[in-house]
Amino acid sequence: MRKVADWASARSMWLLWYCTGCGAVELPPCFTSRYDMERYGIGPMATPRQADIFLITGYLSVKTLKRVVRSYEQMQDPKYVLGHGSCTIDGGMYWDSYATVKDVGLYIPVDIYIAGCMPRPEAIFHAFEKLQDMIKKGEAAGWRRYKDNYRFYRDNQDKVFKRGPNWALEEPVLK
Amino acid sequence: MVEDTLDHTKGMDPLKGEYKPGTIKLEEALVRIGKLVPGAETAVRRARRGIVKVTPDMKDLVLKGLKEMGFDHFVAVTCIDWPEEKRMELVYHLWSYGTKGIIMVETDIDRDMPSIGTAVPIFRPAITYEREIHEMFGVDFPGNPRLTQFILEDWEGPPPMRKDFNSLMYSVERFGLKIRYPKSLPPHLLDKGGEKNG
Repeated sequence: MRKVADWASARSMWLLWYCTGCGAVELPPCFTSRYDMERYGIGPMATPRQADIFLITGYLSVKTLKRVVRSYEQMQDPKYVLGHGSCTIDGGMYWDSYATVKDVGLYIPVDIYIAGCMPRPEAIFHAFEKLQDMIKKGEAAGWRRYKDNYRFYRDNQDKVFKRGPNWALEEPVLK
Repeated sequence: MVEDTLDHTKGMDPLKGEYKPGTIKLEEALVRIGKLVPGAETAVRRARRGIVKVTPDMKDLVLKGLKEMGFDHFVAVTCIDWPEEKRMELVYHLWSYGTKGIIMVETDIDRDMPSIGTAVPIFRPAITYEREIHEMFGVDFPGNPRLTQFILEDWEGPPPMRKDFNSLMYSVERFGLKIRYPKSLPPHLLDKGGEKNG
């Protein structure tokens, strides 16, 4: 049953794009007729609660990381994270900055990193195809990793920001 | 969230008195400031660009005087850190639409206890600039009602724009940065051994 659901969900996904940094300029050609994301069954979505893919397009400062984690926790399972650009891998050109996070994978589970500064839309579509393959095979299990290793991610998050009293989201079960 | 208690209508009115736009040239304004404030050094660096150097306690007098003379557009406050000379330099940039000239009011404060009275009662836009300098350089502005955390949310380290702040070692400690090729870096970055609070 899971397999059927995976097969179906791989062909119909909503994309939430978190436009930090300069990566956002690559997305309009992806959405629109030049590359046409709809061919893959992927469409843009405005709210995290209805999205399946979380595309992080560029560096995250500590302040934005807080919002990213909050948005990620609002998304419904199964959910997939794409790290777009070298900034999400090791900080990119902000590698020694005091304000930006280096490896996004320490704070939320990233399924696929797209290398490049900037990655072209072709690279983004390559990632989409790869993600669909991974979903069909059941390999895109970042959301499960987040639940299983929540203590790890939570410790890393607590190292760089504080959850305020208005966080208002249910805590995942600690393991 | 701190409520803004300031009122726009309070403070100085630049249009009171004899001021008419364009009547007071930059050179004349500098001469008048030199007479008004004892100990103020004035100079014209180049065309339409003047400098006034004053002590911190005379700063308010100079800003008020310049505002009355038509330099009423408050452009910015900037802060410069001089660790060798143990001082911080604050520069207030004032622009006049009348004569189309800019005057920089420079003042030095102690680097170990950086504190200077706020310019908010004279120029209200200073509220945000001072807030930023407070966060980035650790300068205290007594009288500013809004010195809360600004861009650096949940910041716990020393002020990052000071020159002795080691951003690289801070990244290693806070974000788990792995330095893969330490030989390619200038050695003084690695020798400092983490953050230092000046």
